[in-house]
Parts: sequence; C-alpha cells; structure tokens
Amino acid sequence: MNDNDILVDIQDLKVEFDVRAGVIKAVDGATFDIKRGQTLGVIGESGCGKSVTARAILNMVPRPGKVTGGQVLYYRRAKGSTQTEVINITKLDPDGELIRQIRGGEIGMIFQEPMSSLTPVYTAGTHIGEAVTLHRLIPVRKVGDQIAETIQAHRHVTKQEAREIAIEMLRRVGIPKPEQRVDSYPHQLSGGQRQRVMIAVALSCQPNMLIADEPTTALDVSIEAQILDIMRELQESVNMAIMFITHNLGVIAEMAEEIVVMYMGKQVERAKTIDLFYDPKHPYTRALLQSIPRIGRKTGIRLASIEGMVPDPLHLPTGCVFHPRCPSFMPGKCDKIAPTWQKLPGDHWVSCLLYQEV
Amino acid sequence: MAMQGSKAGNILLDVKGLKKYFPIQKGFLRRVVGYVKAVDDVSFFVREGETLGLVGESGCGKTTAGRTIIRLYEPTAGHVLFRSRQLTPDGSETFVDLADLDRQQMKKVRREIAMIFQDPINSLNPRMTVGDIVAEPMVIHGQYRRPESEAIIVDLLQRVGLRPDHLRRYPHEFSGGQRQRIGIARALSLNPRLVICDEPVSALDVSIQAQTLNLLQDLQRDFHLSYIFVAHDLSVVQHISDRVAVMYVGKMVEMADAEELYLYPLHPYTEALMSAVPKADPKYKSQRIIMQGDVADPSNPPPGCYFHPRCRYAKEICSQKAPEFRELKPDHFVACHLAEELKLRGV
Repeated sequence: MNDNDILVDIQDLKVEFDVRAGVIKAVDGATFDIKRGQTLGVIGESGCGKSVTARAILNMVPRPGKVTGGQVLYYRRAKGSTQTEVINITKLDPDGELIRQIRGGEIGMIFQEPMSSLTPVYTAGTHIGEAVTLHRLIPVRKVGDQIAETIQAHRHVTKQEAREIAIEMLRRVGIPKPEQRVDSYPHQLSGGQRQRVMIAVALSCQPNMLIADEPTTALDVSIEAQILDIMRELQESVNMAIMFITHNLGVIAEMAEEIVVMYMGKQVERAKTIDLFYDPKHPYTRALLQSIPRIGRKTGIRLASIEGMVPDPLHLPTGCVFHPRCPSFMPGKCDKIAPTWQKLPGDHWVSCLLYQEV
Repeated sequence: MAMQGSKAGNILLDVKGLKKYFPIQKGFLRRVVGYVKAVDDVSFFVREGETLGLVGESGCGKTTAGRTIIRLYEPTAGHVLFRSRQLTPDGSETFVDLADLDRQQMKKVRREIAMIFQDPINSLNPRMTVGDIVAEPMVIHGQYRRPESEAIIVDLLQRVGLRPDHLRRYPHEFSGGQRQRIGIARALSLNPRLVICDEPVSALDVSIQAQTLNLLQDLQRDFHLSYIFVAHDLSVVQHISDRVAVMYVGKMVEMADAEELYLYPLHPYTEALMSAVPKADPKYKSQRIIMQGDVADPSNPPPGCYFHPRCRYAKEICSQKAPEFRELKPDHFVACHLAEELKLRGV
C-alpha cells in the first residue's frame, strides 16, 4: 500500500480540555492514518479519547476543548481525478466554507442512537441547520426532507432529484416502503430504522470517509447485524474509508482491517486486526481481550479482569499511564519513564517499555 | 407441591402463566382501547443456588417479567410460587404465591428477594451517604440495630470491594463500577435468597464489567444466592448463567441449560439471535441469519406463533396456532411446532 492511498493522516494530535479543576489531556499524541477504502477500528474504554479524536478530524472539538498540538492532514481528491490536494484540517476556521464542504459532504458521520444522544456537541457558531444534519434528526421534520437538504447542501441537484436520491438511499439501507417512509417523522420510526436513516444521511453525499462513533451500541444484536452488513455493502460499492469507533471487541473484529487501541488519551497499540487479536503486545490490549466473555463453549469459571479503576484524568499516573493496573509492571521503570511509540516487525506498533531498551 | 419429571429438585421460584398487560388509554375519558401484552403467559422456574439468564431483544418483556415477580408491577394473571421462610411462625420453608399476598405479607417476603438495577447513577439517592444507602433496607424492615448493623454494613462494603471509609461519602464521588458495587451491597443487606439482576453490567466498561461479573459469582457462592440475570448481551448471559430462558414479544420461546441452549438451540429465534452476535475473533466467518422485518408489536401481535412472520422455517400451522411451551428433552423447554424436525445451528 503506497502513500498515495492515505486519506487522512493524523500526526501527534493533542487535544486538551481546560476545565476549572485543571487541564485534561483528552488526546495526547495520537498518530495514525486512514487509507482510502479501508476500515480502521478505534477501541478503548469510556474517556480514552476515541470520540474526541474523531471530532478533531472534523475540526469540531467541543468546548472547552482545544487542539493544542499536532495536525490532521486531509488528502482531498476530486472524484475521478488523481490530483491530490493536502488540507490541514486543524488550521481551518471551524465555521469556514471549506470545512463545511468537507464535513458531511466528503467526511460523513454517524453517532450513537440519534434521537436520544445525550450530549450533541456543537462547535461555537456551527450553523444549527448543518449541525442537525450532521448529528441528529430533527424530531418535527420529515426524514425525507432532512436527507434531501443534506444532499442539496453538498451536491448540485434540484429539489426533486434530491428527493429521489433520498428515496433510493432509504431503499439501500433497507427501510421497507421507502416511497412512503420518506414522508414519515423520526418518532414514527423504530430505533434501528432511525439509525439506518442516519446512515442514509451520512452516505447520501457519497463521502470519501465515514466516521462511525459507536453506531450500533444502543441497538439490539439483530438490528446491529443488519446495520453492519449495510455499512460493509455500501463501503464496497463506493470505496469509502471508515473510522469505526467502538468498545465492542466483537463488532471491531468483524469490521476493521486495522485497529488502534487507546487508553487515557494515548494510543497504546496499533496493528492489523488479526495480529491484534492473535498476538497482542501491550498488556492493556491483552487484558482487554481476556476480560470479555466469549460466546460458544463455556471455558473458564472466572474472567480475567483488569485490576483497579480507570485513573482520574486530572491526576494521571507518572511514567506509563497504565502502570498502576499493569500485570507486567516493572518497578523503577514504568512509573518513571513514559514509553514511546515503537515499531515492531510486521507493521505492529506499541507504546510499552517491555519492547523498549531503556 | 407436585413437580413433574426433571423439573423436580430444589425449586426456589416457580412462575406459572405469568401475565402483565399494560392498558393503552385514549381520549379525554382515558378509555382503554387495547393492551400491551408485555408479559404474556410466561412460565419458568429457578432452582436454589443457580443463575437463570433471561434474554431477548429490547421490548421483549424480560425486565417487566423480573419486576412483576416482586410486584413492582401488579401481575395481570398467573402464579409466582416462592419458597419462603418468612411467613411461617418457626421459619420453616413453604411455597407461597407472591401474586396472592397482601401488602404486609409481601413486605415480609421482600426481605428474601432483592434487586440490582442497570443504571448505577439513577438508582442511588444522591443525597444519601453510601452507609445510609446500604442501611436503608434494614431500616425499612426494622432490622437496623446501631452497633451490629454498622458492622454488617462495613463488612458488606469490604465484601463488594469498597473501603470502610467510603461509608460517609456520596454516590457522585464514585465511578460507575463502584456505584454498581454500592447497589450490590444494598441488595445484599437483608441477606436475600433470590436476587433479580436487571442488566447489571451493561452500563459498565469492559474491564469493569469483568470485575463485576466475578464479584457476582463470588457472592453467589459465599452467600448461597440464586440469581435471575436479565440482560441482552448473550455472551455475558452465557458466561454467568446455569440455565437460560429466551423471550420474544412477551412470550417464553425456549429455556434450557446454558451450554445446551447455545450449542443446540431448538427454537429458530434462538438460532437467529445467536448467529447475530459478533464474535471477537477476526478469523471467524460469520454466517448470520438476518431476520426479516421488525419485532412484532406487543399490542397487536400476529396470529399463531408471534415469530412466524420473521421465521425462515415457518409453515402453515405457524400462522394459525400458537405453539405450546413444552419440555421436548429433559430440562429443555421450547415453544415451536417444528422443534422436532428442525436441525438448527448453535454458536
């Protein structure tokens, strides 16, 4: 895979939240890229910085968060062309014309269950109309109109054409009777159907990349299975990249080709999915994989669990942030020296002193 | 009480034909225009010391079933037989029908049945200290005696992995996993025999989930508890349960030993549900059975077997006659007309 295939390149990204009690390093040195047509999985527990990273890619970090270092490069390429233009997203005006073309138009996104999402995040001054098409459905408007509006905002089509595309998109995401459903209101749909509508909105502009942040977490397994199938099908048909954020290891194993593991704002490991599951290097990844119950034949009586609690983000441990919970903790080293990002054979990256000469 | 066949054994709770209908009211006069059959003629039992997992998709009635058992909801019909020690003068065991008890009797029996809730944030009173939260059931039941009870509470907190000095703190000072531990300590404060766990780990992070599941298992062994474990995560349920019951639109469709159910399901719904669970193994080639359409509307269910419009094996009889919930193999119950002839795939 050559560098030409890189779509989004995140370099040493740092995002900090200046809250009254101190500064929280929500993302601290994230470095990875997303290639065209590829699915990159990002896993980690709540508060590890995975969603903030996703929002930084769209230059919409919620206040009081701020990008304090690093950059996000977007390799923009017009459809059918081989000319690539490099855009540094972190440098763009968050309300500017360019970023608004990219958001929703070239990089689409879906978040958790759209009507009940707890904290819809807006950047300062983001136009409500746009924010709405980006994050959630407006309860009082027909779903078809909402899709059509997004299409018109990013593609040069007439109102009638936009409506036809909307119907076609609803059909593709598996909504029964799309000609009628296009005129229903969000509350008339079930949770699974609403999430499918959100996918239709996100994909209606044929984005180069889709950011999916826990898109199936609130759904039942049977609906989840349908949504994952739809996403994969659509990805193949338009060669779209997906950044898939989840805490569900089963979902990520099915969807991702490559996985980044995050813990307390730091990326601790990155590898091809198969390597990560069969040969995890970082003690945190290993513990995570052992701590989930697996469906099938019953094996052990007890689950391996990670000791202790997730640390307070305002008072992070010294050295490696995972050391107080780590089964391979080396006194005098892990609590003093912060590990750096190391490349191991086979494009496997890890941040751990076990793999580092110090 | 006569028990047939393999059902004999140390039955602690025996639910028979339980129904909970919620009326749908319309208009100014709030006329009842129909019913949501949240739990519709459900039968199952729990043996002493075991964990019965109750699974199904959202809206299938699993939570309602759990709550109707301890009469947080009044049952519409049916019997809930529970082997209680509270209603006899000498503390000997006798089966009582929880659906028939009056308030006074029910309050006594509630000492033996506790509940753990899903949301560890909203199920704890933010204005009470941890000590008061754990003590509250004792106070309500008039069992709080100053020095002894305090010692019991400290002991309980330590047992669930909290520290004695947490006693005077408030819920907001704790993380989600710790709050769930507080809820568990509260549930155990009256020394119950049956604990109804309603999605106890689904709001927790993966690493905290494993700790909590291990804790529940340790407590079960040490305090000789029986659990009804209501959850939608099939891998968690398989891990913790001895037996598993599957519900669909208010009906029980299958119940069997956990491993038996997962490896050799007899109901097409169980088969489809299992196949949809994403496996944490990138080498696994998924062979999902995609169920067509949406879950049936519990206020207007289809005729015959409720699952027939989505079932890929459905025959004529399935749309005409509701299948009976029967014991096809020893300890393996199923409600499907075709259970004998179908060869279904497990996980």
